[in-house]
Amino acid sequence: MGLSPAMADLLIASLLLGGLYVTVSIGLSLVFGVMRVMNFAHGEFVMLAMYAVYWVYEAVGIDPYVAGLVVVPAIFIICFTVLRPFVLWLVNSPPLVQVFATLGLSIALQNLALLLWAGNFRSIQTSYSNTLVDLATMRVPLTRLVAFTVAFLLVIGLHLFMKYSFFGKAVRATAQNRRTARLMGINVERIYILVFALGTSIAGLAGVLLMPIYSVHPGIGFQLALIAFVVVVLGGLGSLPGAVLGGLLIGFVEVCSGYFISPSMKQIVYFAVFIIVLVTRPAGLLGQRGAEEVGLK
Amino acid sequence: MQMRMRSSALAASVAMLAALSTAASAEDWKIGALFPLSGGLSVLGTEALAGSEIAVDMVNEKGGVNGQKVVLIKADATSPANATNEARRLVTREGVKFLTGTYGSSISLAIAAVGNQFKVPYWEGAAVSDELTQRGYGYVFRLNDNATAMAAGLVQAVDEIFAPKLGKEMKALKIAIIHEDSAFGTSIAKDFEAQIKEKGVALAALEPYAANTQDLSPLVLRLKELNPDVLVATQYFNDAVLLWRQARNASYKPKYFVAIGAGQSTPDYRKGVGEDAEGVLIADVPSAGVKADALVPEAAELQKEFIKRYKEKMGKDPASHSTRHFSAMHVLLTKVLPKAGSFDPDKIKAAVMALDEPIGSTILGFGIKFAPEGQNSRSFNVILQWQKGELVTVWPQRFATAAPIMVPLPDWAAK
Repeated sequence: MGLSPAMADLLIASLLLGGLYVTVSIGLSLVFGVMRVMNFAHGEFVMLAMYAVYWVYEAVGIDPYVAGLVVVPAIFIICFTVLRPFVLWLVNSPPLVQVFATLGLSIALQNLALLLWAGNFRSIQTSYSNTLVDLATMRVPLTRLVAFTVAFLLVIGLHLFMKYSFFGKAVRATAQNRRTARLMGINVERIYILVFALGTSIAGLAGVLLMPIYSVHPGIGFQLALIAFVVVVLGGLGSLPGAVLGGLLIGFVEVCSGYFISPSMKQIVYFAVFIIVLVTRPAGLLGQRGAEEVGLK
Repeated sequence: MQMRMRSSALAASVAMLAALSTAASAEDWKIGALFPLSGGLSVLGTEALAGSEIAVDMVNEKGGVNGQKVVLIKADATSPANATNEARRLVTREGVKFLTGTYGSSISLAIAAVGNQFKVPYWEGAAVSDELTQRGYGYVFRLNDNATAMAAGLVQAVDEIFAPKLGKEMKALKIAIIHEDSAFGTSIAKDFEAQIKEKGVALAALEPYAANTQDLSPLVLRLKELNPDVLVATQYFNDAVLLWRQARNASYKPKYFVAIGAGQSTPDYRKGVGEDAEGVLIADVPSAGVKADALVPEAAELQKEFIKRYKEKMGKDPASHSTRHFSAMHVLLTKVLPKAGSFDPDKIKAAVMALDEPIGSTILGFGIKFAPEGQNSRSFNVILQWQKGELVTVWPQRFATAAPIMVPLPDWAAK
């Protein structure tokens, strides 16, 4: 390979960071694509999952990834049962109400976390926290590699699922035209609930993957959601391949601008890229005009 | 009937409120105490307030100040805007003539501005921004260390610990500083830059970054390439842990590393990076307790009493901000107010400026001699180090509880 070590380091760092952003963003993209609901509380579900994994680890010493096997389904079930009336009400509300309802939920959950667990930063040290994996000539942290791999598999799985399974077809039909889907005998409400639960569980999965890497605090979900919104809009609202491309692009821009220009400039640079893309391609990289009307394809 | 019941209930509650607000009798020393008690800063704000309360309790148990009790009128100051409103309320509605606080430099600046507006003295316990005493307010006093003192601690550490080990003059060192880019990190980094400039050293790199970042790998890669002799870091908690973890991931370990103590001096940091904390040097106040023989006997006694009471009250060891607040309040109640005799700003100022006590006379080891603008010039930082999971003081000699180890830092321990 003609790549200098520093270049290879940069490439890997940006891929890994991009992978994290993809994980946080695809649930959001999915929910928007099908339900046309911008879920501002998306990041808070990431945060809650991180706390869940943290407390399970602190209380009984169960490995974060193993705890994830319980936490993620639990989030799915909670969305499917407890949040059911909320989701149905949300999807039938005008856009402005959706914004305020989910933003309100976000603030409420942040403050609940603050009340319950205070503003401390909490982190987990596992036996593999510092493990490095040799990958060709590089050494890559295991936890980030796991996050990247899971995100990669998840996106492929989700794509195949949406494309080929009967449920996936029903979801796309609902996304394209709610009324016609209903006429075709699709239980639209059920689809909405399932998609919301799926999207939120993916947020939970992101939390599980992030906990061994980052410290959790009540505000972390909001910080992550801000990036997720950029990723989703940059890639094209409601487009899953777009979210992947957007996530990887932001990761790449952030790492390279941090290295070549200055670490304090990286946010400015990726927002500048974001603005340029929006000016030249208002629907995002892989989105199509009017996606907020048409939804997932 | 129902109407009358309601109005009598109202009357009762008004009476109760009145009773509450007059719980402090006219002759008591009423001191406004503004701390962030809710929201993101509340954990440390509450601990800082507990430090002040312990000092008040101890003084009241011994009969108060000049025979009168001290009463803290508490207010919740979560942000600069909110601190302004609450400080105004204390002064105009509660009739408070003296303000104390707080935690967070921006909040402290807001309170000081209100104090200045109403000519009410402000006694700061823990905020470090230099600007607080540089605005020319006249009645703002800070007993504890400011950003200049913190930077001075760093500079001395570099000069006296690192330069000899490297066998170089300080001038010949390649020094880089990284800092989070809010008021806290920026002011310390600037002070540090100015102070080493006086010693003839130019910074090899000054790298700011946002503390809420999720990734410091570009910064780590830059540092790896630059490879400075000494790396200095001014960080909050999350980014401090992130830096150390990502440096390990990139197999980069600075040989000479010293941090300024916000992130690295908390027990949570030790937990967050585990064994890798070993050997990390931090410029801070000696939060884990000053060794008794470095203090005058009264201060040593006071330190013991404070740690005991704090453990009883809060169920844990005091940290640096609660100790700073205890110390500030105790000095105020035992050395300033008795001499001033009232809250008259000019008498307070005269009493503060007359103080002249040697190093080691407060429980953080500080002496007391206020500069005209209101900053205690005998405050300073010591150098702490993580050794076997404990924070020990390694410099200066007078306060050291252990000798510095792992200078230079060895490579990352295998996992």
